[in-house]
Amino acid sequence: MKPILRSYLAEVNLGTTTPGNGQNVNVQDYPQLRDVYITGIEVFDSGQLAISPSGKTVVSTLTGLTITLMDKYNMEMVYQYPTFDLNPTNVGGFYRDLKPFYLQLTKSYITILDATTVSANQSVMLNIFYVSAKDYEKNKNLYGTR
Amino acid sequence: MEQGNNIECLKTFRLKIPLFNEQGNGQPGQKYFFPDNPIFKNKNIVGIDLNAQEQIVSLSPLVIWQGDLSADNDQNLGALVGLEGAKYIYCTIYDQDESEKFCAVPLRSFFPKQSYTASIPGSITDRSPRRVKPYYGRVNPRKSYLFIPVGTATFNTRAYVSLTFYYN
Repeated sequence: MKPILRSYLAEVNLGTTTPGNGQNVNVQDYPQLRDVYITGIEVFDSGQLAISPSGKTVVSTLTGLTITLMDKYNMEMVYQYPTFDLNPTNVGGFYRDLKPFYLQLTKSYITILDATTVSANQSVMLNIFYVSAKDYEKNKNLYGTR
Repeated sequence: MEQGNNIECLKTFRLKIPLFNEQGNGQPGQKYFFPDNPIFKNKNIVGIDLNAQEQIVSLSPLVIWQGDLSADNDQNLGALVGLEGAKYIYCTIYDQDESEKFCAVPLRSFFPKQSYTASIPGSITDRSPRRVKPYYGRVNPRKSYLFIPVGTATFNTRAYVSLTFYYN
């Protein structure tokens, strides 16, 4: 696992009505996550988080959800990755290192594969590890890039 | 601290963070700041670990979430938060340059591999390997805090959280 220089917990709320199968739910804008290179990510379910900081309940299982992360060129750098495998509890305590890329969070989204695994108003919690763009040059050797 | 460990460091120290006010109560919606500690000054943290107490979360079927530490025998402190309690707590850590470094990290992120048993007493328990999360940088304890969201039940009297910091 590479060093975690900064992290921010992003909450993806599924909305007031239960989403349908195949529906995408975009990640909202977080000013702290503009102009950043993502270096890793972890996702939690209700086994690790009972309640989000905003008071929402957290999804109870991640098997019916995937995540797609877009870069600033609208490339799908991570495409429909199973969120279950981003939960450190399920993968031996590891988090997933990513080769850093310039994240475009507002075009990134969660896909609901199986709507029976989620309920309305639940949240998916993403802990995003990042380096700000202005600090990237001096830190990129930590992540094996030149 | 090299062989068999995913973190390489010179030293470690453990910090106890009280989750209560002067009356001994912990209230949801409150921030609980780290105690000021000079050991943080000019130290480079390379990893953070949560130390949690064993907790029985269900009697039928028996489910015990195994922690790694018993509560300190300290009359000023009550119960050490266990893995179930940690589900309700977030940690925000500031850098020594005053910027927000790690925002609302779930405490369970510091205890990444849950070790637990869902079996009868005396049977084999699952103590899976744990790994230290490589949170990296310089910590400003005066601005860093734990947060309990609104909607959480009140915590035990004089509950506290224990974090181990790995540093160079």
